Amino acid sequence: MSLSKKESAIVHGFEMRPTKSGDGAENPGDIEYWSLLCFAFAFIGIIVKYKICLWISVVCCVAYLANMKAKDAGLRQIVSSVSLSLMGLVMAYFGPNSHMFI
Amino acid sequence: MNKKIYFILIGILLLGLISVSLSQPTEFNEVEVEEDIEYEGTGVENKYQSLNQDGGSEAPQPQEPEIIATEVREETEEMKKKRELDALPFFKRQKHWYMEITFIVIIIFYVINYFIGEKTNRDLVKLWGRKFQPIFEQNFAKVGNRDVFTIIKINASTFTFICTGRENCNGAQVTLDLKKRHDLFSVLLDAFGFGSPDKVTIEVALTKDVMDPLIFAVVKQKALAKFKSDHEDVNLFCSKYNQATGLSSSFGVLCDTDCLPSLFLKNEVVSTLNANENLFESMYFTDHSLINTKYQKALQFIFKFPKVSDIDKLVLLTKMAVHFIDIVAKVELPKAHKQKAEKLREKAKESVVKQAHQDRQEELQKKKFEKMQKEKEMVAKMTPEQQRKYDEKEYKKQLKKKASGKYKVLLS
Repeated sequence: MSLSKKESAIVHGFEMRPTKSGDGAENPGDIEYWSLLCFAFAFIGIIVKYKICLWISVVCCVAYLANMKAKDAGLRQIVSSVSLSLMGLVMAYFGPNSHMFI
Repeated sequence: MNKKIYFILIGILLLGLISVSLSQPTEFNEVEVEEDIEYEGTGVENKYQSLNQDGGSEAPQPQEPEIIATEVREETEEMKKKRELDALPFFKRQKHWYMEITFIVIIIFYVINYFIGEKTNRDLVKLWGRKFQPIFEQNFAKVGNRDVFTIIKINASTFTFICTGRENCNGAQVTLDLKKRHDLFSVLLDAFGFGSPDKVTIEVALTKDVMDPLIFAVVKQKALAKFKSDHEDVNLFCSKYNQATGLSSSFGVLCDTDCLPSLFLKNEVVSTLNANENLFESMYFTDHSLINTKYQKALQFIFKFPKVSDIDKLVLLTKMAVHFIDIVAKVELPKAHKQKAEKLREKAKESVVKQAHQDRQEELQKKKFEKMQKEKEMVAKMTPEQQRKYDEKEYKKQLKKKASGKYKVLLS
């Protein structure tokens, strides 16, 4: 078997499954459901003033951070979902209208 | 990971600061309200005092002011109660904290599980790396992205590793899809039996000039229908091979020409597959691969990741996968079968072209029809005079068309 090993056959930059398609767009299977859920629950929680929705959004945010791909871990990505869900919680407990949250 | 924690901590700190700054103006508002009410109360008394002074001959009426004063007092008492409640710190206002405690416990469990699960996956990958490094180093000139044997982490449960530098192939990619042990919800799903097992996928990209046109797959009988629907080429060209191959009954063989099983399923391979029946998922050789359009000739092997004690079984299967690179590259189909395979591909190509042409025609017709309908609607909305003008225009257009046609005829 080792006879087939060949230095000249090395393909530089070989990638069987390209992480990004040719035009730079991400593969369609890569939608981050946790992030979407986090945003959705945070918005619902803030608008309808339900604390439980805000807490669910925080849990979704934690799950999103845990399932994040190593190459995607950028400041902008993290800050957007974390800040929104935590902001909701702060509004519910420390904000001037905190008594309105159920 | 350290980075993530760092960002989260910064976020919490920032939000804490914002919350402190938000809580200060609320106290200030309350103080303002108190002052206003006191002033109102005194205002009522002042009003009646001034009435007494200016009333002159009329005697003062002591009853009315008393009633109003008591109302004001009641209001102020209610307001006072409210104010007292509002003045309490937020953690004393809430009656119970069950929901908050539950969610905090869930988050704490999630974080603890993340670290434990991630470490377990990492250890499994390390073990795999130690066991399989010599096999890949023997067969490929360059193992890993750099000069050292490196396994790249895609996320906490997916790891990948690339090797290249071998005859007949551009390279191979090994992907380790482990259970999502870092995700508490996946762990719970797995506990109820809905999780997927640990998998090892080996994908090899063969060079263009090797390998005859062939599509061949060995899949578990249960997953046969799903495999067919997932792989378009298998669905188009292959049929199930029903003759005896020596494989156990849990395997199903798919091929485009009948000679393939006898060429690939030699005694050694059959015995290896039968011995590791529970670890094997699928084996798939194709010249129409959709994994990467750059490398259409590809091999794909999917195995389950065994228990740590049984990892030697996986070594045998991996060696078989590497061994198949040369076998598939050098295989020569009998002439009749090769012609049949080529004909099949030509037919498929023709049908694809036909289908595309038909689709285009249909689309054109649809557009024409829509345009006609729009024009009709437009004419229906017009006044009689506008319609007459429109008809004249159309008639002129048609005449012009005819005239230009005549010219063309004359010129030719």
